[in-house]
Amino acid sequence: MSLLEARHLAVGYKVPGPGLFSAPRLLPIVHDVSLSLEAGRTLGVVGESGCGKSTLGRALLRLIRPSGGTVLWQGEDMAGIPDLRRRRAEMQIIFQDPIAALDPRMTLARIVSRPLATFEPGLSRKDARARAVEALQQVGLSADFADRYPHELSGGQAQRVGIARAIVGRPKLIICDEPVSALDVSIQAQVINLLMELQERMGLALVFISHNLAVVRHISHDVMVMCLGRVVEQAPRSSFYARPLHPYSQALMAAVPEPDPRREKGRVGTALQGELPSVLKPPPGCVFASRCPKAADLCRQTRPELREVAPGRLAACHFVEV
Amino acid sequence: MTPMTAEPLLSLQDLTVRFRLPAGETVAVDGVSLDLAPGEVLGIVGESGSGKSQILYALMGLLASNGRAGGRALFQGQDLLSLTEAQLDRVRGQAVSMIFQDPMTSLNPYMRVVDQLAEGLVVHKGMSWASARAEGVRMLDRVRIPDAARRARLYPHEFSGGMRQRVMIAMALLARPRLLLADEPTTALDVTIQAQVLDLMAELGRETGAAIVLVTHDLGVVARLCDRVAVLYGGRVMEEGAAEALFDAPAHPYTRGLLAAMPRLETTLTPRLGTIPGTPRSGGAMLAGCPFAPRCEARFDRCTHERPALHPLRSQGPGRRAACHLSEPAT
Repeated sequence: MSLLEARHLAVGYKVPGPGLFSAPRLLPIVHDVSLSLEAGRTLGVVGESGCGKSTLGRALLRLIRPSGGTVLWQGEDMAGIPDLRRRRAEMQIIFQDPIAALDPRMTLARIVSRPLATFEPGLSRKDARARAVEALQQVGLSADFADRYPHELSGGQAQRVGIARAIVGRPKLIICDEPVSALDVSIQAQVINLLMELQERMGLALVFISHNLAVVRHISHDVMVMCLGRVVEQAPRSSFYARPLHPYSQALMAAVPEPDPRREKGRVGTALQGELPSVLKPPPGCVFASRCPKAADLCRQTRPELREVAPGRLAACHFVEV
Repeated sequence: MTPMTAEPLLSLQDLTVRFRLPAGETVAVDGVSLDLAPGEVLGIVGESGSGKSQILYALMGLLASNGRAGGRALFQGQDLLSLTEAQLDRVRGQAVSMIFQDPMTSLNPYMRVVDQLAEGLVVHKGMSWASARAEGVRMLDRVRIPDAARRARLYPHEFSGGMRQRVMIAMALLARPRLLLADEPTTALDVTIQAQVLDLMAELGRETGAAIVLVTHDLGVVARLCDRVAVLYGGRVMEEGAAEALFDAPAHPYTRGLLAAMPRLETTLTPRLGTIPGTPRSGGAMLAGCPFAPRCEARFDRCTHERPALHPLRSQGPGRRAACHLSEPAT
């Protein structure tokens, strides 16, 4: 039994209907995502803006109600868990903008201990504060941070506080939604290392959502690539980075600039052409067909199913070469 | 790489930028000297607070009202810092253009894209509106806006982020400037769109012969586009050189730290990324020593009280310089 499992998960947002008086319609954002995650493992979810990766992260915690499919937490259907609020001690989330995620009027000790009021209501104030100080220390902030306020923090320190708040209830899973995207390179590395250390120490499972393939490579055991709400490739890290199979994954990989002028100068002029289709008007065929160098008529008409193309490797492409 | 000619297009000489704040004066750019040859692409790379964007703002006369630039910035021999507003306007519209990180806030939301493109040509080059608009549409087509003639009549909000940045580039290059200043032009874009925009800048730079100063925090972007690189920290140049030479053998502990902290796609995975302890310096009072000293694992006594001068690294070829006591030639 997996710690977290999603089966054919789908999420849509309600948007106004076409006319003034027409009923709102459901705009699908995430289609048919299945995954499973074990303790101590990291699943990297990568894709460009609007691909549905953050929506997926929220739906996995039922912070958004899915429009289809199920999420199982330790084998139990999350929709049926009574008092899910309290069970969320086990499953936490951290966000991209670390300062916006902290209440400016609270001390860090209060911010970090706040979730305990829900998760462990019997805890005394003194014990809650002690737990907050302990969590701050676990993320590398000394006890004298406890009485400071968010505006006194740098971006990297604020993200550490966000992580302290996530681990104070001793979770089994943390959804990390672009947690290092707003940080400087030198600080980004500190936070990635911290997440990996906490994972080893606490046996945490992580869902690491990012647009950055290089960061995902560093931290993940398995990788899932999303495009326009659909999973186009899913694979273990080593085989994925050795040879991505979906043309979209390949294009993403080629687009990442690396600090290596010889590699990069050779890539000038190889950028994908064509425009990304709108979420409002998804294409009938493959989500990547409008930009894919290999696209044929079949791709524009029929959507390829996500299927196992090699042991442990899934891809959604009519012309995948294994 | 473009060879350095005798006459640089742009020459920054001991450029400083200071801001008056209630708490006292803060120094954002602290004695930067750099030369740019015609047609050359120079990357200025640094973390937040390094002063990299303020260099461009100083050149364009766009510093905040409490900011003051010192030193000299010679563009084709003329000091941009000593020009009147009217003189500067002529330079800005024609010989020097700038593109910004966020194209949405740089475009006028109430004006059709084609009119924004044409305006500069009408004002600065005295063209008629009709021919300026036609020129604008040609330029949109050139930056690969699909269906340019129709899209030109739309408003900025009707464009995607990547298309808006291409509109900015079209606008910047319409007047055929000799120098294009780009402040984090691709930071807000997805990687595939970033790759398109970088391709476009490389292609148009080559075609028009414009020199480019690209300011970015991303060493990868620098590697793709730039001939030469200057690494900035705490308002000072830590090291500079030809891109290949600098990335092959980074001389400054800060550059080495940055490279080790970057997760990569193709290197062997290490259990942990390299880190630089502490947080980046951002402004502050004038320093006696090296701004990176508090975070530097190689620091020794001299680093905290004696400013290392930017000196040539002779073994690494022409134009390679670093500001670190450890790489100074023995005296």
